[in-house]
Amino acid sequence: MKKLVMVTLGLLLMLQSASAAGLSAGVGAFGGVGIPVAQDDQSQGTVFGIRASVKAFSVISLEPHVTFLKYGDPDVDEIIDDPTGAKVNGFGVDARLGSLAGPGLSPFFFVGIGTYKVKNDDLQIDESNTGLSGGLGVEIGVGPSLGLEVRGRFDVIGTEGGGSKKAALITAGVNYHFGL
Amino acid sequence: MKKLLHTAIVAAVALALLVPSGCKIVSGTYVVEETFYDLTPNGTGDYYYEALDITDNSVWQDHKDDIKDIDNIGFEIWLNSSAASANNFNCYVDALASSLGGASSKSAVIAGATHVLVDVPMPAGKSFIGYAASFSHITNLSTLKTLGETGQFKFWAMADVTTSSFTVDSIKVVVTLTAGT
Repeated sequence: MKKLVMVTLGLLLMLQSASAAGLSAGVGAFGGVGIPVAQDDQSQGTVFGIRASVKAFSVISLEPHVTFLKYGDPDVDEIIDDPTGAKVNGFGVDARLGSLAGPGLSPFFFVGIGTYKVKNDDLQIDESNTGLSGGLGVEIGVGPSLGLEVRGRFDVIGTEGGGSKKAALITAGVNYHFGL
Repeated sequence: MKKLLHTAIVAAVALALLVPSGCKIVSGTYVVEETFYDLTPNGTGDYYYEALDITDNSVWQDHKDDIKDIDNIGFEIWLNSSAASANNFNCYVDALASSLGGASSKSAVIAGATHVLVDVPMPAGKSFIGYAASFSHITNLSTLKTLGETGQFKFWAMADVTTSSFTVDSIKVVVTLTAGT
């Protein structure tokens, strides 16, 4: 929780600076489902997070974000006493191609990099690794500054031995933009 | 046209980011489960011993050549104690090539093998230690994972009482691994 508060404050500070500099910026919140990909030891769970956005070039924005994914409890064949699902907390930055909200539909693509903490107290797992992500979405402007978005995201988080943990995140969210 | 160019740039950046980790993208996490029944007591009744081997398991066979990580190893164990009161149940492991074995003394096993399950309560009668619950008793997990990379290790199970007072009806080894090319 302490980290979440610190990151949120950091994002707000960054937004204030961007706004003061006259840049287009925004803040948003999102939630949805997290689907493990090729992970037999996890099941579908929930994800939520917050995101800021700062327009860097004409249609390219940088989006720092924090994401909290909690997998559902797995149901592994023939294991009687299944553990709970893992928690994956991430902090990263995406580069988004596509205009920030405005009237109508604004489709976009994004790629990003982040650091992810994977934790499962049941199984003595507590490790942090770097991950890459990418995906696409669409934002619908519902006012001069307000946008609703749907986003599909694919995360690939590296592991120490050279493997990876993958997840597809499907989220919906609301964004507030200023300086557009 | 300008938008198309931007799309192409982002696609190129995405590829540049993802291609170096291409081997990671095609990996997956799999769970190997293998159950061993009716462990055999040693001659002096000090412990049960078994050389656990999961290498014939079909999931292991499918991925044995591409293992990147042993993510975790846990156990499910069924016990049956005829002792009048509760006891503590402990397990040790060692490499298959270890000189310790089914003829070693209890003190030699305790001194030379790696303690992996510590003081699991064993009440009178039948009892069960579940997979998730086993982790609250597991110690030296990193050593256990290292041994698990071969899919084979020696396993000793013992309690405060001799083997005439309890049986290890079954032990399931659960290995979670990440594998890929």
